[in-house]
Amino acid sequence: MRKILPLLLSLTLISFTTGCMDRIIIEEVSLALLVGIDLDEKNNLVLSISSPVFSEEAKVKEEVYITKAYTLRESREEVDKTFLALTTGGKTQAVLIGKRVMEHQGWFKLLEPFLRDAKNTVNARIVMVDGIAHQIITLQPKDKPRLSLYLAKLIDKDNLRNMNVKITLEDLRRDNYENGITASVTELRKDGKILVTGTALLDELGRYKLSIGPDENKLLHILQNNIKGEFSFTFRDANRPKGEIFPDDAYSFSAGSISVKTKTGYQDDKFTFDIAVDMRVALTERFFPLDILKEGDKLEREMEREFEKRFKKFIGKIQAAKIDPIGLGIHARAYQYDHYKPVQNKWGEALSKADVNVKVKTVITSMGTTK
Amino acid sequence: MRFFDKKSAATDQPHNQAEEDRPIHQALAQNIEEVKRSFPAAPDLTIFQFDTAPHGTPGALVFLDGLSDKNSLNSHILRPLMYGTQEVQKDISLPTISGCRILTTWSDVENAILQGESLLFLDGQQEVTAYDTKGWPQRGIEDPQLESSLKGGHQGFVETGMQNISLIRRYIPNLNLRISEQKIGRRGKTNVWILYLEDIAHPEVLQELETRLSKVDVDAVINTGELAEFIEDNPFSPFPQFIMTERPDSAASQLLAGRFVVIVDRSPSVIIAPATFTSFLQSVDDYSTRWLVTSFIRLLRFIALFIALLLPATYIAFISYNYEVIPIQLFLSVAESRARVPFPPLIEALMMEIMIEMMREAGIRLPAPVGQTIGIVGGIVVGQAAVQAGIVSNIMVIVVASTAIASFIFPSYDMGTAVRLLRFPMMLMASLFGIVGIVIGCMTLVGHLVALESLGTPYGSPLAPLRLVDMKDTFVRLPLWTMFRRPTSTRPIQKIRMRRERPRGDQR
Repeated sequence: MRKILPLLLSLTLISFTTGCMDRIIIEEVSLALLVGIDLDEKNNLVLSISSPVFSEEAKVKEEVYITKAYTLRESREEVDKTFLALTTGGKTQAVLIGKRVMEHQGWFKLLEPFLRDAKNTVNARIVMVDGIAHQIITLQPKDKPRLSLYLAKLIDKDNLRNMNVKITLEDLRRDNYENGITASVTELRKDGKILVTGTALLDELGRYKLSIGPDENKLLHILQNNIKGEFSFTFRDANRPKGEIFPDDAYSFSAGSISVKTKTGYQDDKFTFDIAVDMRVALTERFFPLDILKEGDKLEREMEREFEKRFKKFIGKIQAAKIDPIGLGIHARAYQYDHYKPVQNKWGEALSKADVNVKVKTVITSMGTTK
Repeated sequence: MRFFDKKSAATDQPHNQAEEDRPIHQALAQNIEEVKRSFPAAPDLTIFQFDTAPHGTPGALVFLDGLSDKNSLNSHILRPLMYGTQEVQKDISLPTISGCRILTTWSDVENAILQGESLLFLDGQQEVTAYDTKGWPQRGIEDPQLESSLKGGHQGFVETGMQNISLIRRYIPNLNLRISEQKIGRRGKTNVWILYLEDIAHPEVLQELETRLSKVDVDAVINTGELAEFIEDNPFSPFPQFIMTERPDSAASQLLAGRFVVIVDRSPSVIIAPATFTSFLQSVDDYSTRWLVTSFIRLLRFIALFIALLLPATYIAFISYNYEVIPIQLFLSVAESRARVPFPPLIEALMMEIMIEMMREAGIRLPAPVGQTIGIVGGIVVGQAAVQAGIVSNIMVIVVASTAIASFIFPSYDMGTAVRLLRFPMMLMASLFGIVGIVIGCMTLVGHLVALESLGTPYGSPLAPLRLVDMKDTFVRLPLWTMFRRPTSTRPIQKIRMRRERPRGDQR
């Protein structure tokens, strides 16, 4: 009996256990899959949340609520007033932030609940909307899956071709606290449909500075040595006639096995960055006659020239905006710490004076399946 | 055992010792009377009286009808006794039968009759000759149902202990195969044989086993499972602590590994001890299949172990607490199908699991043609209809089905049932504390497995205590020629079992 007693006792105790109190069954969860943050004309915060509805009887499978709120957390209660289930941020796919919000300093702290409450995810994609965020959230495209999934897919897929950056809240937080790099986020626009237009570059204080398109985003990724996915370019050969209706001078290629080597120096009171880009190129399109086997190097030189021109233009742009989306500051801190330390808090300024030289070397390794 | 009152068990001796040792009478008539008195209301008791050749001494042959082999009784005992042979011994013609012993006390006489021997009483003699004419209805040797194998032998143990011993002897014709006999059960008097290889098996373990067996004091042991329950180390553990098999080939290979085989008369399965947890995931077929394939199947079994144990619990934990870990696409489809279900996840899972268990149990009891019906009815009801009716979600059906399949992959039925049982507490823990609950459950289980012993040998070996040598035959099975050592978890005295090299012939 003495051995049975503890067994019985523990069984009784177990049967009275209540378990964890934060239990929410899956269908009682209202996932804030999309969160939108806007400012209205009077600079009031407008928060919008889109969440899926699991009921079979509901005709529309998405519920959206737009509310004026003081903070994001407070808006959750606003939302719960009308939503079917309890709102949580555990699976947020994207945080859409209006351009007007991003133009003001200190917007990042709005996302604080995502970072502090461990139940919320830090893997939400951060997107800047060129326009008003809740206009996108309320969209229900008929020919696409659920908007939240569609948006997430759109951003990820375009990122595979390096047309935009894909940045999660966690990345954004690092970029924000890191002095040597300025953040860049995906940029969206609503133009009847939803378009991923490229990347929005932010300054050191997190304010929106300028936008770049898919082509420049590829250059950004190469300079960042972030060389995953496909890099596809279409160039025009300056030495060829333009063609009347159809282009005669265009050629396309995709670059693979890219190697990026950044050398950091300091000369004449300014930083110098020598970036050597080596890439192997596979031609995918060519509109003019050329014997690649014999005259391939001519095209290679032409490519290199064009690349260097584009890099120069891109770097000029970011230097003018006094931002550093490439993260050259990290190189400077690593290799030229003595010179970096005094300027670390105004690195954008220091970079704008720096010499950034990009040297490109291309080798055509594949001309495709026709001659 | 704790519940039995020890005092009364000690005093309650069935017979008086003096009564047992009563000598045999001289007169035949008196002896026949005595036998008749000892076996009242026994219509199967046959007493055949006749005059023996060549001197015509009156004699009587006494045997139990159904327990004797009539053929040898008639032609090898009665014929020589009645019509005489060349050989004459003690005034009677010698019967042509090998098994023959002399009994002098009544208790021996009674026992011999009960065991199926035929007894010859002779007038004027105070001793009885017992002839071994045991023979009773027997089942043929068949493939064991519970442990069918693809490549191993297709002979299974039968209900006669001596036959089982001979089946093992066929595999190990070696002088070191020792058999020690014990009788268990006051009424049942079951013969129990411990088989071991003298130069491999550890004597301490043998002593432990013998002591435990000798301490079993019961009415009768009907089945091996009963005996196992009396001698196992931890009666409160959900895990089987002895391997029970009906396969002579696996018993023989366990003997060679230094384990002990306990054969229980009248039961077709034998106990193999000491057992380790991982040995329940090994099967005889493992050694006759190519080692790469076997390794894959072994790993499959370990995966199945976790699926059978944890999948329903994981489902409950994921959908009641930790939904963040589900990929969003799956989340939406799970939630959509869950939204129709009015029950909390634990109830949903319990309902389905209990349903499956009932179907399994019902299938055992039903004859094969009806058993199919259960499959169809169960498949349709538990499957699609339950989902359409909104009683369970469709993910739950997948979970339950995978769990059921996974739990049938174990070569050992006992381990399969143990795992099936354990997933219920796991589900409960998951519904109380989510993933943390599962972790707590697993920790408890691991703690228990580490502490558990089988015949005083660690049950968790070769994982805890870690025995690296045995790892060759745990999660994977390396080629046989690499396993030149016997498994160390059985503590064999002779450690090396074969040459270290693979015979390569002339290719070098």
